[in-house]
Amino acid sequence: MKAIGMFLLASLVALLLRSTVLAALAARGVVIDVLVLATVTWSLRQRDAWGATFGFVLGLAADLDASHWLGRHALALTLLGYGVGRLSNTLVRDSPLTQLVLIALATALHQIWVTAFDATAGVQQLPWFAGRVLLATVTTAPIGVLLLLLTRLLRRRGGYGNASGTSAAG
Amino acid sequence: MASILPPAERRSVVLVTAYAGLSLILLVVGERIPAAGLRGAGAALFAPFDRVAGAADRLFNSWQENERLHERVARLEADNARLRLMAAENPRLRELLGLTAWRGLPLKPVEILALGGGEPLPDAATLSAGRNDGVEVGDAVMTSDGLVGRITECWPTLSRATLLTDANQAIACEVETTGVNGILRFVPAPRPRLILSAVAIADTVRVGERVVTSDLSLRFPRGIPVGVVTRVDHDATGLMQEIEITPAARLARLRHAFIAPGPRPPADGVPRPKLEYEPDPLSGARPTAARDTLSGRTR
Repeated sequence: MKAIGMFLLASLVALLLRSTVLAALAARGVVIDVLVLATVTWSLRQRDAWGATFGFVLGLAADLDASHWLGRHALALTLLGYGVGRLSNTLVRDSPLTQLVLIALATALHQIWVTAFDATAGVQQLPWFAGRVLLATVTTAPIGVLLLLLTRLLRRRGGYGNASGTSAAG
Repeated sequence: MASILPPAERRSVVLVTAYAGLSLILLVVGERIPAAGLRGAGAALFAPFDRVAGAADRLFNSWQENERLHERVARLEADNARLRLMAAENPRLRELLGLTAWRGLPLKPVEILALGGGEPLPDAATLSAGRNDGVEVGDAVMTSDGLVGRITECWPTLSRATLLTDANQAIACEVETTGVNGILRFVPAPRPRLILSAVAIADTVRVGERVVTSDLSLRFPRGIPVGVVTRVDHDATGLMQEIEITPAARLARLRHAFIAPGPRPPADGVPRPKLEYEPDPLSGARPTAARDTLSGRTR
């Protein structure tokens, strides 16, 4: 029950941030991919099945918020949630470096997928395409790691544990 | 493959396959699914939180905005004094010329609760008024600076506007001073920008000229400011001009807007004169008024 409550709360916060503060920031060129951030965080903590479910629900809500391409975010975030969840079984999930790489990779993949729907013509769009993906990746990954560190400090408990599944946070 | 995996992993594989399959189906047939009801439920669910987030944002920016508004009020008051003098003689001149009188275009102020859709620029907005407040699909949404978009979904207490930044939106516009016509579109790549396309190569358009909604538009009243010309170029074919427009309204920083009634099908089938957006010289505030022109088309 607590997990479901957290699930709903995390989705709500991510979507709310995306439609208010982050929308204004994104228009100024600072794209923080909060959908990926939330999905990766959730998947690191709750593993693959819950990660995929969270990604699907969050993605579907984001797709409904958009005017077109229903299923675009849902597909990408489902696969990312599942992938990160599976990887979390074999990684030291508390390591900031691991988190940085995971968030950066996930953001880059998500942005490539999403941006591909906006691309309408040939190779002349490649610099714009690469710039947008890179910008989102370099802003989202460090912010994500900082947020995870901050959350851990505030909770005054261990983080996600490691590959053996000995999670101090449960 | 699933049978060689442990049960927990098998369950995950089945789950992710189901989600991915469903997402793919939605990608293919999603445009045909009527999602307005779901979006309405989502908007209603998020509206209280959006209001709180919006209030916090407004509080944070209120000092700066207050200064800007003071400056603007002073400038508008000076304009107002000048326009009042002109307004006194305008009705007499219109009467002499046999023109119809000014008629106000009812504008409803609304709050922008959330911006959504595209990244980096939002392409939709949730508004704080709905069907119960007289809002209907097709109504124009504008700020005091200019056009923002159009209502595309309407629920009892909320509505959703598609902004100019939606790549599927096309608006008939004209250059204010010369009346040169074109189609306004949003181009997301290689750089997000508004483009006035389909402008004949022989037409003269200069940087700095204002672009407003055209009388040819079936969706918007004529004369709503849309933006300013910032670059004039040829399109890929070299046969038409491609004109870059800076939007008049700050689309990424919307807090309040006005809803103006869009074209409604006449109940009696008789075509109505088309409304035209014009600043009202009597009130001094914009946008406030409209006049009638016969467009000669059935809406």
